[in-house]
Amino acid sequence: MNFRDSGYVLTYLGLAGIVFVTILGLEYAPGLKPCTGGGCWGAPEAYRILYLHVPFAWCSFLSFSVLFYGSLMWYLKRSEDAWVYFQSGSDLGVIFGLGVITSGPIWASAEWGRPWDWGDMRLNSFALLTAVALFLVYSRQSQPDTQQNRDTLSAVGLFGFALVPITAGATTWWETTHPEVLIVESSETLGMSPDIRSFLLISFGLMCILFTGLLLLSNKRYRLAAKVSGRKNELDQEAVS
Amino acid sequence: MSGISEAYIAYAIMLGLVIWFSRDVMTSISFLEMELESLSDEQPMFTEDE
Repeated sequence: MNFRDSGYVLTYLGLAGIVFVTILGLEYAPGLKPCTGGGCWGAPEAYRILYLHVPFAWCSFLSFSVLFYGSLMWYLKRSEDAWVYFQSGSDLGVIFGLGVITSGPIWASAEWGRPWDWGDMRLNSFALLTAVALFLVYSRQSQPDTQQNRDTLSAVGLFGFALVPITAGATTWWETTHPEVLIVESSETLGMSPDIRSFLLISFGLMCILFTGLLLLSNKRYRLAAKVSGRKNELDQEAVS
Repeated sequence: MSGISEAYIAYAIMLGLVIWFSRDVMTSISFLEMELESLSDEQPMFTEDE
């Protein structure tokens, strides 16, 4: 079994890990203190969403990095392999992005009493980032696969990546209602114990295994699709000549 | 309200997304492998003029 075929093993391992995180996160993970020096939580049990929401968000940034790599390489080399990475990055960006922008508002509804804050930079820039990935996936599927279209979509992918540092740094640079980066760094005032931080990191590690597996499988799918398309073209040309 | 029911809903959505995507990718791969295999054996179809 070569490295590319290990996608199956990593995906199954990652999926089992995420199921494990789900059971632990919902049933056995350390709980929050309902009230601390920093105030009281509106829905202290809803915080359990973060054990999967935060790793999803980090993996979505990894997906957008793959998309950026694919876009850049397409411009530099115009190779089929770069386009494979572009396609996988946009697909994974949609999946992980959708997970974040659905679970986040569910937590916000319970904790803040409203699902979205239109004035919050992180929420809006992340939604825009996911919308860019969704646009790329739909455009790829609906437009003819020509070099001109690939150029246009790669340009969108390149510029869309600019939203990643803006989204990641939003809670530091602007005043937002979204919890700060401190949520990862355990703090007694927020009622976060070091156990919660450790659990988040374990969850992220398992999510990375799943992400790697899905990336390898997705790349394999698009390489196979390119081979099928190439073979069809060959047969057509042989038939014409 | 503690928010535990919201946590269950959010977990179901996130798990559903990754499981659906994994299944979709694996199904596509096996379909494409079969298609490639059948195309490898296929001979070009000649037009009537020939």
